[in-house]
Amino acid sequence: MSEHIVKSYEEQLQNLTNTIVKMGGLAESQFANSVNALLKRDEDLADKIAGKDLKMNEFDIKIENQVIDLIALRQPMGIDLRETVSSMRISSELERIGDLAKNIAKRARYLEFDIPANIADSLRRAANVVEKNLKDVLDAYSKRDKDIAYRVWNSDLEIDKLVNFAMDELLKFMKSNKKNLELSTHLLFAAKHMERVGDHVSNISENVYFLVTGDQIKGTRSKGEKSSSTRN
Amino acid sequence: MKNIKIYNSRKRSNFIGLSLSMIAMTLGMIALTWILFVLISKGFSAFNSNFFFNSTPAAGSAGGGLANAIVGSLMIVASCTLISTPIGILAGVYLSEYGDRSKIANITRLVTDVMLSAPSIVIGLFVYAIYVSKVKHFSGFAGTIALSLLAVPVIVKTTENILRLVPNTLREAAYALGAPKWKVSITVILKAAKSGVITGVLLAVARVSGETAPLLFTALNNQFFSTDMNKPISTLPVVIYQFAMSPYVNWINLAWGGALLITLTVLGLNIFARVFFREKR
Amino acid sequence: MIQKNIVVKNAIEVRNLNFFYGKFQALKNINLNIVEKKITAFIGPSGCGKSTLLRVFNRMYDLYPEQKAEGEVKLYGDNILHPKRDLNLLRAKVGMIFQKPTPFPMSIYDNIAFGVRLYENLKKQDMDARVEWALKKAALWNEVKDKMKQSGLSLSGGQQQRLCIARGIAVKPAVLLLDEPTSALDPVSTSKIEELIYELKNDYTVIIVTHNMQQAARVSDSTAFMYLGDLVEFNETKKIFLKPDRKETEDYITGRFG
Repeated sequence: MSEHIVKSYEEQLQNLTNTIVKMGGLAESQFANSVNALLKRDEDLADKIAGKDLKMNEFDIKIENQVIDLIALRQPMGIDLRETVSSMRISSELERIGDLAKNIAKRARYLEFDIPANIADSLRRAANVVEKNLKDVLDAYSKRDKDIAYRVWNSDLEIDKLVNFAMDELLKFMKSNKKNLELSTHLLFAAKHMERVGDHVSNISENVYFLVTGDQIKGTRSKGEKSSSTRN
Repeated sequence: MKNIKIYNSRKRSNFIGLSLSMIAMTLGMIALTWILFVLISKGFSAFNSNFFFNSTPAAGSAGGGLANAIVGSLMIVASCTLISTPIGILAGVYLSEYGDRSKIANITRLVTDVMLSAPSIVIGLFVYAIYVSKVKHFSGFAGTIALSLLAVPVIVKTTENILRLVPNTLREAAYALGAPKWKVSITVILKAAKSGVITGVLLAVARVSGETAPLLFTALNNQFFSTDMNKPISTLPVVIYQFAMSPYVNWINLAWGGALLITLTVLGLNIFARVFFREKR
Repeated sequence: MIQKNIVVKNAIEVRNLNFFYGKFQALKNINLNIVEKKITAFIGPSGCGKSTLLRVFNRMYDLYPEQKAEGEVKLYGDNILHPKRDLNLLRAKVGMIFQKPTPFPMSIYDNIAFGVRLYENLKKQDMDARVEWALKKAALWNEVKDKMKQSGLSLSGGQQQRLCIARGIAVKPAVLLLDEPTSALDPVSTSKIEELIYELKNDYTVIIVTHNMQQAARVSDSTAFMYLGDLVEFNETKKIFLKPDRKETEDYITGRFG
């Protein structure tokens, strides 16, 4: 795409994209760290995550202001309009991911003993897919690649499956001994939060797809399983 | 410092240009005020009731006025206006609205331009040849024809020019409603240019009212008060021409008075045209 | 995909239209359909041919001998480019509003009645009613009802333009052509005219040429992007301004034009 005749407009849009990319990078590390903090019961790391969440909120407000400026002063059209609108939505999805990461990390504090290996493994597997999808969708955003976005969107069911599997194991563990009750409850929440991070990633992929094509993603996700009911 | 040099040389040429045009304007003003001054100083004393109510005196007799010449001039100029205004305006409308680039229009334009610059005495001779010599007597009608021949080209030219100044969008707007051409030309375009066209007519009238040469061969002169347009009739310019060159003091004085009267009338018409029909915005 | 059977009536159908200013070709093989009772906008940079195309629809170009059109332009099935076509009747059916307000040098009342008198013989009270109707449609009635005898030139720019629109709709044309109708007006007058254009859609097919893309986006149902005499893209307005199919269109609407 050639450059705008008005250079300051070009810069404004470029700034917006840069802010999204930076915010996305932070969201990525926040989520990855939160899973590590939880699984390793690392309270220091959890504190650090909580501190950095403020930064996420700042990004969100900054992007909102940039978007409002663009709409008010430039009246963007076409690709610029799609860019502006999807940036605002992506930013709030990222902000939600940040909140969920903070929440996951917070639970490290309340775990009374180490997580059993099999449960940690299944949580890790789910988290890995979420992390990969988050990374991919941010790639898709910076490369304006609708195919990657579509793939991310389509793989959301895999996350649901992995989370369900981890939750089944957690339920079994919970039932086996009353002492496991509190730890399992926290981990159940954490698992659910991971799934919701996945949902937000999936929402971002929809926005990237719209940004590139101007259309909404159509059709149902493959594998035909009942979609998670947690999307809200 | 190249720029300063250029700037200074521009300033100089600007000054020279401005000075030259100021000098030209001053010369014009001097000529005009001089004429007016001489006319007023020599002619004003002639203005009295005799001047306006008595006819021209016989050679050698004292007193008298210009009543016959004033009325004659008014009649000839008025009838000339009545004849030349519709012809001139319609021809102007034709040239501007219909003819545009047609052959007839181009020929008409050429003829109009030639007529505009033709010496007025030629027009007088022409009317003498085709009319006066045929009916075998001078007459007010012949004078009217001669003056109309002078006025029509002026009106044609100004009308065409004024109509061309009407923005094309106004024409298009009228056509866009489905109006036929004649309706657009008359009810919209001519109406929009009304003040300009009337100014043109007034200026044409002002111009012909001072003409002498064409009247010498056509209306000639009449020593007595007459309103018969089919007879020779007295007019101001011709009377001035005759009286100014006579040896009689009272004739010369009347000539000055007549000259002042014509000049004031023409000046008045010009000022009236400019003030009252100035483009209103 | 299910093919929906929507009845769309075309007011104007343009087929293989070429247009020349002398030897210069200003329109190149244009094909498009203008849907009845919708607002169609033509956008594009200066000299792209959008105004030229508009002026074909009422054959305004016929006023200028060096301009000529080739091809077919059908108004409800009749080819208006036919040489025997009566232009006055055509123009009574296809009204036009211009960039600059063009009130005639006559009273407000006569400005409106001028066009009506050309083709209809109305009684005084019927004419009064028609004038009032047109002025009300153009949202000007309340401002001028007490000064109908005043010159149309005494109105403000925005009022003059609405007067011209009232004059245009008083003759009840089928199609209304608007050639940059608000480019000489302030924002408030512009909004009033845009609102009016939107209202007109109920009764008329409206075609608007505009330099202001936001205006095209605001008022039109479909938008045609033209460039160098070509019709580059013609689509739903929403589509044109959100995700046009052609790169040239996107470059133009986003201000990336080289």
